[in-house]
Amino acid sequence: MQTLLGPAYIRHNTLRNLRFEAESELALSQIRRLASSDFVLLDGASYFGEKTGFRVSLLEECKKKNITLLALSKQSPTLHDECGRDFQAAVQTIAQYPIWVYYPVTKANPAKHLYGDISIIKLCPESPWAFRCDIMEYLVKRDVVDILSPLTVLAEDPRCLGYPVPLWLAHDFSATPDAKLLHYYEQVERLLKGSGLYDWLRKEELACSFADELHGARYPFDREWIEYG
Amino acid sequence: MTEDTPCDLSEIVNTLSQYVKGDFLTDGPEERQNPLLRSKPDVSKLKPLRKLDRTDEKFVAVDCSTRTLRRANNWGIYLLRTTYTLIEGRKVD
Repeated sequence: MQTLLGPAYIRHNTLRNLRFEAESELALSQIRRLASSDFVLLDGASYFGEKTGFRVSLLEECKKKNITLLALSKQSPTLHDECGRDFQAAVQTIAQYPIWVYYPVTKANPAKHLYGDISIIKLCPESPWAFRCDIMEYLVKRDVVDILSPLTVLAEDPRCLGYPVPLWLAHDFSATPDAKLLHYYEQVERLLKGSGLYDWLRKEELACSFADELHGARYPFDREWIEYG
Repeated sequence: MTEDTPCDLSEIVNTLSQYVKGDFLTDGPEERQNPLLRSKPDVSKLKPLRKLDRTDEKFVAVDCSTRTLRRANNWGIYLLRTTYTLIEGRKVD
C-alpha cells in the first residue's frame, strides 16, 4: 500500500512512476529465465528514465542478452494524422492486409526518452483491434516482420482477440478481488480510528465524494481512474 | 506470479499524521505530457505479418494494477499489485 499526499495530478504522476518502477523490477527479476530472442512485453510506451518511464537498466539488460523487448500500448492518443485525427484509426482505414505492421510511425528519440521505434500492428484478422507497438532501437537491424510475427501465435485467445495473451493474463492476474479490497478498506479504517485520525480524515473523504454517491459508487475503488496514453 | 507491494501500515499513520498536523510538503513529480506526434499515413509503410502456428520463444509480460482504497482531495491510500506471466509453448507460469 502507498499513502500519497498532494492534489490528484501529483498523486496520479507518482502512482504512474511507482508502477514503472514495480514493473521494471519484476521484469528484471524474470530476465534470468530467458534466452536470446525470447520476449519481454511491457504495457505502455517505450519511455525509459527516472520519472519518465521504465528503468533504463531493464533496457540495458535486454539489449545485453539480445532479448526482444517490446512495449505495447492499448491506445495511443498522442499519435495524430496530418489533420489531428487518431493516427491508429487512420492507418486501419488504409490497411489492405489481414494482419500487418505499419512501420515506422516515428523513429526512436533517446534525447526525449523514447527508446523504441513506434509501429502500429494488427495481429489477428478476426479482431478489429490494432495496437501501438514500440520496437526497441537495438532490435531494428532485423526485419520488423521477423521480430513481430511470433506475436501472431499469442493473439488468438478469445478473451482478448488480437491482443498478446501474456499481457492480458498479467493484467488479469494483477486484479485484486473486491472482497480483498473491502478487507483492506476496513483494515485501514480500524487503523485510522485507533490512531485518532479518523474523524478529520473522514470529513475530508466526504468533502470530495458526493459525486461518487450520486453515481452509486459506495467505495473509492468502485470508480477508478483509467490510464490514458 | 504475484508480488503484492509490501504493506507497512505504520507508514499510513505516519504520513497522514503529518498531513493532519499540517506538517507536509507536496513537491511531487511535474506533469509529464508525452509529446504529440503528427504524421500523414503512408500506405508504403504497411507490410503483411506472417501468421505463425507455433513459436519456440518464451514470453514474459508484466503489469501493475492500482486500486484506490481511500482518498480525499489532498491525499490517497492506494493498493499496487504487480504480476508477471511467463508463457512457453502452451505452459503458463
